Amino acid sequence: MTLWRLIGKEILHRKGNFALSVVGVTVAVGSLVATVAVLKLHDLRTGQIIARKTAETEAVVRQRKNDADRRAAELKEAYRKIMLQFGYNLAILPADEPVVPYGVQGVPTKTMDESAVKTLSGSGIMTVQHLLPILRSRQVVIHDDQRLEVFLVGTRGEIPIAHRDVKKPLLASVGTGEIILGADVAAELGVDRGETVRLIDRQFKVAKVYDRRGSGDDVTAWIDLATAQAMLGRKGRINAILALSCLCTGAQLDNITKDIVRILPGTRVHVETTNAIIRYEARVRAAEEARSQVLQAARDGREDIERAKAARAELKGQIEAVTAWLAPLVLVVAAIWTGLLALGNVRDRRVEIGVLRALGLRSGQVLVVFLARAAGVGVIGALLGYLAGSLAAGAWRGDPPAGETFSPLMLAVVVVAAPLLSVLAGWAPATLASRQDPAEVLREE
Amino acid sequence: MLEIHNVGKTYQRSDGKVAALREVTLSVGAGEFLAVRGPSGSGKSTLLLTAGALLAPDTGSVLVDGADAYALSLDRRAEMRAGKIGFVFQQFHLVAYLNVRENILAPSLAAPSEGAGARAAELMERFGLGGRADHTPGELSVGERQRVALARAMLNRPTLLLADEPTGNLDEVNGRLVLDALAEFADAGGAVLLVTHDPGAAEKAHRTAELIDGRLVEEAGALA
Repeated sequence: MTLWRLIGKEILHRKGNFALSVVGVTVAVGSLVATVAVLKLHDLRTGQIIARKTAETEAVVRQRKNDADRRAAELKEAYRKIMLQFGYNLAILPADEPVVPYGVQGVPTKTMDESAVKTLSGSGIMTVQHLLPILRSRQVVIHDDQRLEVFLVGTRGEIPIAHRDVKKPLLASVGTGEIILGADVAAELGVDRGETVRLIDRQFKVAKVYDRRGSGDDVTAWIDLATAQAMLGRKGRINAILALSCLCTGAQLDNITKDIVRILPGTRVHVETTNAIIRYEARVRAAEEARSQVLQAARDGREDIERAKAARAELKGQIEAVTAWLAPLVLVVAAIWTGLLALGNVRDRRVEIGVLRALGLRSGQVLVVFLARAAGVGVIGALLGYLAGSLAAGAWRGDPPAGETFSPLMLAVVVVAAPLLSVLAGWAPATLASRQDPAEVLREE
Repeated sequence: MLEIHNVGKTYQRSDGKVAALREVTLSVGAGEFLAVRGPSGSGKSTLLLTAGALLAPDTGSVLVDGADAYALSLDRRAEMRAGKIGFVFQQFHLVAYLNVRENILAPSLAAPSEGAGARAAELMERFGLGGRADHTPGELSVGERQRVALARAMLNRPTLLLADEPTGNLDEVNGRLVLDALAEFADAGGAVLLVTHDPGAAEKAHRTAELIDGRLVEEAGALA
């Protein structure tokens, strides 16, 4: 016969009292475990929501970025095509050159020193390229008995810009004694490469005939600049420096113009605006819009995620606020409940305790009998409470599954803490039992 | 075995003090069976509890096997009860949820011994309880319950057996059986102190005394 057997048989004998005590601990532990599990599930659910929203945002951003990249690629291709079609879009002219004669493909009347192109190429300017000094006039080209008035452009070829990599020139240089003809000029004169034409008082060999460009180039002839200067009596002088700027617009062009005028005082910049530029500008705007949409989608996604986080945090705060007063209340009620039941057990066993004391049981052994019973209540209540709390939390939240709420640490904590609390709650009744005077009980009986 | 010297015990009640024992002196030696008779309220139960190291007297001393019971600590006194004293009560006071064997073995909770199981079996056989080992007190007759209580009192081979109205709830046959058992215990060298209000219950005693208003006023035979 052992105390443990005595305790076990007493529990079986007074199942109701023991079961009610276990229910008290189970409810308390279950409530706490369920609360913690709900909070954990809440965090898991929050993680899922944020992950889903993040994935959705990333998908939208990726889609829009793909759109933007596609448009950028289209723009790059368009740029390339426009460049081929457009040629030079800037003309740097003497400041006193009237706009109109030049603007309608007329003949410039003013000149400037050829050294200006050297100054510009060595200036470090970043916004222009393909510098081409020209001397331009209207002249008649003769082939056999065909005469045709054309724009004559004397050029020495593009001037490399000192700080840039050498680019393939838009216009090839022309050798001395050679002439390059635009497509319409060659067609009108019926001349082809290798033949000769006469210009003013000199014969020139046709070095090249350009394909049709759909621009003023088709009615233009190019010869070497020095020859042109000599033939036109304008030695060391040029009318303009043609250049290609970025396909920029508005304020950017204003800045380019200011840069050039700062480098070359006494000049002004004429910007050729064409339908190509307008189309290009529209595409630039579309590309910028696409890029903007990417950024906006990312911003919207981030804001959506932040809103979801805030809402979830607020909900969690509300749960925690309820828990803050509910948890202690449940613990106190459970402690009172188990304490009262333990007291009832002591009262029920008053004579039994007296007899056992008369048979020689020490008060410490009586204390052990009741505290061990309380610990048993705590252990069983902890296990049942943990199970009930986890299942309840899982059933309430539904998704994610309840299995994700299993925490060995939490289980360990309740299996240790619940018996301790149960023992504390049963301490006073157990002490009462151990200090009971057996003589008083037996005398009364 | 048991020596009580000038023991006095007074209870404080709402209507004043009541003297339960007044300068009681007696002794029960080995092999003696002393019956103390007295009417209800004469102090018999107080005398028995005091003799059993359960109720400290206000005055006097109680020696069990030469040891002053109330000079001992509570735990040592509990050890004394477990090892030297057996109790038999009128109400039996068996533990309801333990079976016969376990009730008989209950004293071994306080004083475990390897031979307790065999001793319990021996006592069950001696008191005709062999077929009742797994029965709970609720399943026993009144006589069987008192025999279980007797067996429980004898488990640890005490030197002193204290019996409080052990036949009070029994029929004549069972009452005689209990008294015979007490006499046999004394014959075997034990000391028995029986308190009862029934003159017939004292017939088996070697000596008798009477307790009236807390005083031991009469004795048949010589008190030490």
